[in-house]
Amino acid sequence: MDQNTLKAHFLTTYDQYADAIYRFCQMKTSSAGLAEDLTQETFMRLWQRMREGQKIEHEQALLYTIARNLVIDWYRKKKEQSLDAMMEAGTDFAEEGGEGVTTTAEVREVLEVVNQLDLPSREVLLLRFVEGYAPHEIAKFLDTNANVVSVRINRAIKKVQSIIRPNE
Amino acid sequence: MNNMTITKIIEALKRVKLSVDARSRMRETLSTYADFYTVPANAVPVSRVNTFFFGRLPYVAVAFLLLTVGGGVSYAAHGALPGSALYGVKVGVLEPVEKLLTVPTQTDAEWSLTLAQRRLDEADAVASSSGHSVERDEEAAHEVANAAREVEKNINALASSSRERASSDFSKTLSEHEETLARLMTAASTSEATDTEEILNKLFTETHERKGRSVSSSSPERTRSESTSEEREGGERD
Repeated sequence: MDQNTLKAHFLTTYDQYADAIYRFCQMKTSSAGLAEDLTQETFMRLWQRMREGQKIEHEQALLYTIARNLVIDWYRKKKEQSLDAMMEAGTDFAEEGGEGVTTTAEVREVLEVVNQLDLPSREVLLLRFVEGYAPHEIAKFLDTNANVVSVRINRAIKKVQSIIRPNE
Repeated sequence: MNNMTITKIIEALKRVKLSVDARSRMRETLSTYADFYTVPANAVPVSRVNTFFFGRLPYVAVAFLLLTVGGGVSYAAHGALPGSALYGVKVGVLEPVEKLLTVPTQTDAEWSLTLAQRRLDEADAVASSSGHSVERDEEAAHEVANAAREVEKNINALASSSRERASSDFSKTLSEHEETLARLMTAASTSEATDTEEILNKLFTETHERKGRSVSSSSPERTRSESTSEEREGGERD
């Protein structure tokens, strides 16, 4: 593939998956600024693989794998940032067309719940219910099998329920 | 959290996304990145350092332009002294780029100490240059004061274990330039920059007192012997 065609494909891939990868990074790091950096780094690495002519069967799977490895690298080096720091960093929680106070407060509350979850639970909840991937697809991203993913999803749901309905 | 449901959580999470500005800025950066690292005739592995440079694209681009289109300008700017036309390029462009390229190996405190040393050397060079003037001394004084302020800020941000050594390094640098500080303090006293005068006054007084204490606590012979030893150790460290 020539430079222009490959670059056009690369940018289309960016348009398609940028928000999803950003969400994934933010869920894992709880930091808006860091999630942006990791998202950019993820796409830079994707481009390097593309230009080297590596065969990429599932771009979204590769993107999640790269992003996941970057997050792991980051966790090895740094301590987790607080939710407050993330809020101060100016995360954009708004829907297209505006940012309502109610919406932001609601998302903030949701993120407080999410932050109480362990990282594997955050990961599978996001990929299954927010991004809509099936367990066998998530298994590819996480380099595991569909059964393990299904078990993680069930556990994650129970954990969320125990947080939002502690007395039930 | 009473009215929260898993459905609400999922819907809320779907609204977490890049801001419009960030999305557009990132796309532009990636587009330029793809232009920079074009598809090679033969695929060549690219090291991680490339992404490090690229994250700082605006600076690298300026440096690249200076080194190619304006190679002569860049060369001249490197040796520019306070008061010259290219001095702004040196401290405003070349040094920030240099910092970015040396960040992995130098802490902020070490870098600011390097700059302070450089500012003091420039002040000496200004004094011995053919175009020496009061105005150029004043500008050199201003630059030294700013650099010293930055060093102190960065040293204060260090952990106590590293702070002592950094302070000692800074004191050593100042001590080597005591006469320079005295001259700059005088130059600053005639200018309107009271901040600069205060900082230089403080630096000179502290350096002078430190030297005085060091001399009074040793015999002349011993002092000469010790300072030679210190200089030798300093030389070995360098």
